[in-house]
Amino acid sequence: MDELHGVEVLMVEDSEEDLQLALRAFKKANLLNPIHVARDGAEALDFIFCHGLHEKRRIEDIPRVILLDLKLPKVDGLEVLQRIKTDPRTKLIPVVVLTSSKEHRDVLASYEMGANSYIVKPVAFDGFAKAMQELGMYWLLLNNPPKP
Amino acid sequence: MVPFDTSSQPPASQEDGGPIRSSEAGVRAENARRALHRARPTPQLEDRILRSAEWKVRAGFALALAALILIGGMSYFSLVQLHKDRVWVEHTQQTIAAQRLVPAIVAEAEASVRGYIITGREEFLEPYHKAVSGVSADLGSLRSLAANDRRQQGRLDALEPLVAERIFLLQETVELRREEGFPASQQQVASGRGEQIHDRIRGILAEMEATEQSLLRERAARAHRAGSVARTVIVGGITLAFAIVAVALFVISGDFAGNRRAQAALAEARAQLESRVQERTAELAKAKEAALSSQARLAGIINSAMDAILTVDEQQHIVMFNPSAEKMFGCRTADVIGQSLGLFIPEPFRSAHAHHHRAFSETGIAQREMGRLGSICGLRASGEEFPIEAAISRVEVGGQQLFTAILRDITERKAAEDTLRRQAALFDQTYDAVMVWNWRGPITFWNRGAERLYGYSCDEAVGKIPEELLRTETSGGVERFLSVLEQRNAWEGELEHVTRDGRQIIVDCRMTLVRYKDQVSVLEANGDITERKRAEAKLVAAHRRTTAILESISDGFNTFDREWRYTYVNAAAAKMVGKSPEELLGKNLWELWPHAADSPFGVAYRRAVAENVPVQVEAFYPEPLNAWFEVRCYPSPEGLALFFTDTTERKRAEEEIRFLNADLERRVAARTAELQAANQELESFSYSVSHDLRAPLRTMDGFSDALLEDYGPQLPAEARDYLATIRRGAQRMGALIDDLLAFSRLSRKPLVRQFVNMGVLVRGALEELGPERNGRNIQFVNGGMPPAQGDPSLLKQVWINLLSNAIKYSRHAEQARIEIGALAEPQPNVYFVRDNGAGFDMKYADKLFGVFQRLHRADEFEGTGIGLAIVQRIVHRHGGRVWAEAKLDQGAAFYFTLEGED
Repeated sequence: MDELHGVEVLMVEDSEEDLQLALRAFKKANLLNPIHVARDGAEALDFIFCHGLHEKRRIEDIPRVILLDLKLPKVDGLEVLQRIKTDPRTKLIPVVVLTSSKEHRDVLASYEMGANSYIVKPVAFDGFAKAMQELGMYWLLLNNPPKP
Repeated sequence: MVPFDTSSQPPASQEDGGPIRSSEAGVRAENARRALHRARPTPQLEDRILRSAEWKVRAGFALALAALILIGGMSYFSLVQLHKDRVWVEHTQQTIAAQRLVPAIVAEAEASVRGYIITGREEFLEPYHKAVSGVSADLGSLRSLAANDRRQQGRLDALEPLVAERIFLLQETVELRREEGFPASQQQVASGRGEQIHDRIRGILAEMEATEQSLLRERAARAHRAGSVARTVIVGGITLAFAIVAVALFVISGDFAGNRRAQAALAEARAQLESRVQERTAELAKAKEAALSSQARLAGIINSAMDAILTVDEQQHIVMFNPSAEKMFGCRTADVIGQSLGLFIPEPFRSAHAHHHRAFSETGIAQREMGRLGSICGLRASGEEFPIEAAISRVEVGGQQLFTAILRDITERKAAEDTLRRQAALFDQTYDAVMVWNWRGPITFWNRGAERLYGYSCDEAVGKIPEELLRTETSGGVERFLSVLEQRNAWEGELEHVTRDGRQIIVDCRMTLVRYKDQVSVLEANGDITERKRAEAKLVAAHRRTTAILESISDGFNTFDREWRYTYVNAAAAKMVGKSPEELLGKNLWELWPHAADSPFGVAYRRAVAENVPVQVEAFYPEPLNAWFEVRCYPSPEGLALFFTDTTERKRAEEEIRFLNADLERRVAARTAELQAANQELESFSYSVSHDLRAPLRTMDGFSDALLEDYGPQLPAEARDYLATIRRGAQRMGALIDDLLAFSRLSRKPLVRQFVNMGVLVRGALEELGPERNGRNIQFVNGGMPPAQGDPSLLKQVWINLLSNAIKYSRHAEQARIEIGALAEPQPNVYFVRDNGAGFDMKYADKLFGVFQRLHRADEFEGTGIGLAIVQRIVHRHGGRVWAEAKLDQGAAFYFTLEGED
């Protein structure tokens, strides 16, 4: 995971198990793009806005997609989303909200704050894997984000 | 036995119920006779006894009488004889006494003269004078005593001259003594001439006495014999009579003894009878007395009556005539008794009267009142004709009819009537109905106004009783106004009359009582006020209706005049201000309610009047009312009208409502806060469930899958099955959590009611259920459905769940058939979904709608058991009801409504 060569996927996920399953699904789908994992909201924000451990990273090196869990320690997922989408430097980064919650308000809040997609993590791994696969294909291979 | 003889009674008594009394007396006499008859023991026995006794007594007494007559006769003759003899004895003795007196007198005269000679005093001569007169008387009586004896008469003839001579001598001697004195007289005495004469007198007298003495002896002896005979006869006769009577007594004493019982019985019967007779007599005496007193009273009445009263018999002959009749007809009773009544009837009326009289006799009517005949004509003795009013009564006395007429001279009354009628005629010209009628009697005058008003002509009306003709009615009754009229001589008021053609009219009536002597008439003038009264009645009714409405309303209603005085107060108004209408009416508003002037009320009232606009005001009136009033003021030309309501209660209620609302809002806010907190909690719970409960399941499933994929070939088949089971469990748990969250979301989602086309919803639901219908041949029967009010997305969920069930449970049916529609029973808009699938046993129907309740195993029919719970939740949120009908293996039907049954 070389920060200097650009990270293509930022995965913000506190659950170790979900992280492993997600990576496994990526792998199964042959998505080999570099992935940086942040384990809580604060870490995610440090990475995105080049603070703390990541102050040497250039903010211009934006990830191609951010997979964001909503329920995060320290800083909540929605806040992270808000910060990304309200900052002109980061607002164009596609953010896919990836969460266990089917709560309507979460979905609504996410879209209102500019989430580009909202994916519920199914209990069954088959569905999860399938979802990850489709997601990766779309955002990493097909989507051509505008350049800032 | 008949003490009251009717024939002896005067006629007046017979009129006074005489026949009845005499017949009573006859009955009593008969009764007495019967009583006597009953009292006799036996007439034959008594007769026999009486006759025997009588005969014996008669015989005895006849004998005794004969004896007594005999004795009496004999005694009489004996006594007469005895008396004669005694008289003769007495006569002889008188004669002897008279003879002896002569010499005594002469001697006394001589002695007297001698005394005078000697004394010369005159008083000595007194006995001499007496002797001179006495001697001649004595000689007279001697002559009469001896009248029947011739011998003695001869001796008296010789004696008288001698006595006279001797008296003469004495006279001479007295003269001599007086004139010549004592010696001359002494000489004459001494001559002895006197003594010679005296001796010759003595000689004659001695002869006479001797004769008389012999007679005396003879006569005394005869008298003695006669006395003895008389005694013998008397004593013997009486003895004989006693003997006869004793014999007779002895003979009849036997008869008397036998007779005594009968006599006793007879006596008792007699006594009884006597007492009865006395009783009857007393009764009859009393009756007689009563009859007499009644007769006397009647006679008194008749005699003092003002009216003329006369009685005639069947032949019209006058039998009684009272003083008033005398006065009326100008003749005396004595002259008319027995005369024909025709005497008092003018010639032209006589035949008519006779006819009436016959008719009256034949009717059998006993009475005819005064005035009933109208007036008839009478004739005075002077020839003057005059009007009479008569009452006639008839009584029958001993088969004879008597007619008593009471007559009243109505000349003056007639005149008064005529005058009144003439005066009343003046009223003919007036428009008012004027009539005159006799007090309690008929109409006598009827003017043209009356003809016009009532429709009766004068001829029809006159003679009729006014109350009967006009069917008079008045408040308080006819009798009442008549009595007022009688007392005050006048009456004014309204009367109701009925006209000839049956119309009911009201008249304004004035009556005046006209008294003239004993005649009382009424002058009545009536004006028709029917129309006016009707109009008045209408007005009154209208006013009464208005008043009734005003009195019945619960609002207060007052009116004031221009001077702010109460002119009307309804009951509610009076009650509201706590005063009676009487306390308010006529009082000034501002004086009565001193606080009103400066209050909002006063301001409003004045404004309404000043600006002539309706004004409404609501305000609080302080002491003494302490109440809120809402007043609407309506000005009018008369003043001001107020409608008002006591709004104190309303104000209090409003206040209370305000307070309650505030309290309620506070409580609602508190409750809402509570609910919000609870919701928050629930939401965070759901949120946590949503996020955190699924993650471990995903881990279980994900890593089981990873294990199978990565190490599957190395694992025994059994281990792979176990891992598959773990995955199923995790996935099922995930499904349950999803459903539970969906269910809990239903409660939180707000209900948006709108018009919903149920047909469209059903079509949408079926489209969504497309995957489930894949490969199935299902017959859908879609009946028409009425639209509904509700939340479309929720209702769609209802249809999805019900249809999904129907599709699922009908999959074993040979030909699945699902009916969708709506019923009108048991209430409008009952929507339903019916299938012919597996159905269920109705005894589990109550579990059907519970969360996660299932009636089928998961390997039979998949599912979490949340679908019907969601249906029920949504239906309940719409205020509806859901229920099911099913039979095991024969399909199920689900019904729901959206509106409450109430």
